[in-house]
Amino acid sequence: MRNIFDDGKFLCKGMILVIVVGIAMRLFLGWILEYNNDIIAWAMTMGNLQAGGDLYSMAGYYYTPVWGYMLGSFGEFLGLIGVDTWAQVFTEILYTEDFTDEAGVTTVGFNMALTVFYLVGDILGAFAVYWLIKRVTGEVRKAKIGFAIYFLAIHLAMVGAVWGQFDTFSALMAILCICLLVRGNHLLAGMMFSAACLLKAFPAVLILVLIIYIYRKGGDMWVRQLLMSIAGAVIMAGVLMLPLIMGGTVMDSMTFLTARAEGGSGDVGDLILKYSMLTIYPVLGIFELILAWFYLKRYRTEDEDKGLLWFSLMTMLILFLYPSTPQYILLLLPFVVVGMMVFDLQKAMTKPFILMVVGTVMMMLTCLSMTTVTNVFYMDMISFADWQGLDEFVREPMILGYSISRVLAVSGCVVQSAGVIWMNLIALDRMGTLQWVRERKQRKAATQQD
Amino acid sequence: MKAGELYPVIAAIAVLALVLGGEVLMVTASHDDFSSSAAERDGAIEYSVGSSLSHEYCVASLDNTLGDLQSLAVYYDPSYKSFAENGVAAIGGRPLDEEYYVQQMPATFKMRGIDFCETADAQKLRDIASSPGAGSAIIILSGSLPDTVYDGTSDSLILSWISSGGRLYWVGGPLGSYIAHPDSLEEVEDGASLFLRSECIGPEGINAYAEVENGYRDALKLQSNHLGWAVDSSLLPDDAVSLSIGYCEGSLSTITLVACGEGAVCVVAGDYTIRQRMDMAQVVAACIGPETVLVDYEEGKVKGTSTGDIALGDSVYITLGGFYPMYCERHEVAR
Repeated sequence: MRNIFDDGKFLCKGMILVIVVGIAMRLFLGWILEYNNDIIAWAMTMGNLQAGGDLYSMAGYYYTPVWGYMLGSFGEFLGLIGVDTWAQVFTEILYTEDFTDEAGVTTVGFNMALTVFYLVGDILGAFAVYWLIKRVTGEVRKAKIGFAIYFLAIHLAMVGAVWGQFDTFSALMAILCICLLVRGNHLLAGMMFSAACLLKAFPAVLILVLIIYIYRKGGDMWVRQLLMSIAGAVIMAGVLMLPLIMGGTVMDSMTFLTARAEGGSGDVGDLILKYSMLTIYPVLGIFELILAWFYLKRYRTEDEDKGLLWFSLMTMLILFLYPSTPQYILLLLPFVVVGMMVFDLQKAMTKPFILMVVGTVMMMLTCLSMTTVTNVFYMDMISFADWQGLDEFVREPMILGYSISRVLAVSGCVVQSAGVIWMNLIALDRMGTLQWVRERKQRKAATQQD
Repeated sequence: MKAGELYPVIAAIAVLALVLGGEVLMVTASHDDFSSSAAERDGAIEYSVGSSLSHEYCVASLDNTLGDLQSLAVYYDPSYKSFAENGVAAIGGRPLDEEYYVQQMPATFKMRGIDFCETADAQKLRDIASSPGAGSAIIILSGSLPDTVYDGTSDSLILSWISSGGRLYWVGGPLGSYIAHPDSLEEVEDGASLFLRSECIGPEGINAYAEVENGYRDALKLQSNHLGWAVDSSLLPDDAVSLSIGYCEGSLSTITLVACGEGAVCVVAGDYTIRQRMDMAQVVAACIGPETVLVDYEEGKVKGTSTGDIALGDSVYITLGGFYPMYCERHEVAR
């Protein structure tokens, strides 16, 4: 049967369908649903910036500076396209703040503009996935399918359009960094890596794999190429951090990392979360070091680009062995999609990939009632009384004393983790690691029999 | 080379341009990017608001305000004990303690047209309180007063300063109930009575879920609904002149202003929050007093310059950006 992606042209019928569906899905989700918890912080940050303050002179922004700067651009975009009212505080839902929700509700115009902003990030990311697959495999059809899987991944669309989280840019910057290295643009790759790490810290985990790739592929030029990459990273970090250094707010930009490590309410669930993080992340760190050692010393390949993609995928799969929030796990997406297409893992990875997506979406549905408040106050599609009924249903203890919201969060986390662990096992099997374990067991059994 | 081959380079440059463009916008933004004016004309106030970007605005016409501020001091002395505890911080956010609250004050007021906000330690606070209070304001965030201005009696320096026209803004604890020493806090029996002539401070840890129906909540875009240590206006003396604004639960309200001699005490209730800081700043910058009347308020949208008329008061207070403002300005109107 002829595949809808078989046409040699980039804009074949299949691709047009994918792009139209992907855009329509995002615009619809962004119009009908919006979770305000973080988005209100974006509005406050933009207000502070336009007031002439910096990112940290007034509370509201707690991340490293890159997303804050992007919000500066987004605020200008809002003003230029005529979105004048960003959000309002509604007295009727002040009570939800007792549950750490938010009575500030962004307007439909604001939400749609934010959706378009993230949509651009999603499209650029999908093109990067397309470019990388095509470059490494030379197969346009595979590249198109990769584009489609990435762009139509529902959790990618929901994190941007519904949750208003900026992790699509984290995924985009990380995969662009890989693309630039493959192209041999070391200075620009260094700059992009630096920007990615100052957007969210997770891409930093790739650093060893990237250095080893430069070493393996660069031949006699590897030192020069590495220095170029480092120069790019240092220049970009300097430019991005300069206002913070001048304003003495460098430590403020690290608050999100330090507060997460130090903070917590002290209840049992919080303590389990905190200490499991403190225990598991160092173990994962050791796994990453072993992986890098294997890449450096033991891995043999004739195609260094494929080696980079494989070990980047493995690095990300290990990183996300610890259950992730719906937005963080977006960073895994481009690496998994590229890996599936380049290493012909489509069949093997399909089920765990679906599990990961479904689990992540389940986690996002925990705040279903709060995602519909825009609808209640600006669109009159749901009456306030009906909404209150939904809100009570979501928060009410129902199953063994736990609310639907809590049950969805925990079960979503389990499903997502199952998907990621499964993908890890498939990847280990592909590397031959599991085969080696099986053979060792067989040898041991044979020895015992003798 | 095909254009498609260059895609990563083009995309990377576009993304970096988006980031660096925002950085440039941040560095170059200032209060002067916006403008406003107001003047009396034909028995009304004619105002104008200017912004190069689209924004909503609100113009509040106020009467009997406290008059322009000449000086603004925020008390902070880490060598003295403080009653206040850390407030509510967002997940991953820097803990909102007294030091951080104080650090935010200059930027908070600068965007409201007040660039003379200064920090005062216990000694400096005594110097300020030793001068006439008219036109000056003190913000206490510590929930306690240092022994340099307060000794728990009606002879305290801070009380005579308020009576002479000073404006005291109180946050972080029960009004007048603690004297701060360098190494201890001393509790004062009936401390609130020294300021407000009655023990009228409510309990901590409660929230409001209704608005005070006098328009100030919308006119000043007030947001905080925390009621800890709020003034219970039903317990004020019958002849007390007071104004309650914001959110309420019974006779407790999030912000209460009470006249004391020539001056005023303003109690801003609740734990430290971002919203409390913004609300307090609005009340300080708009020079709201216990006898202030909200004559009228108008909301509109601006890109370029917008003008309009509003009923006559002694001043207008303009807020640009709604609940997440980027520019506020008070204009006194000559009559």
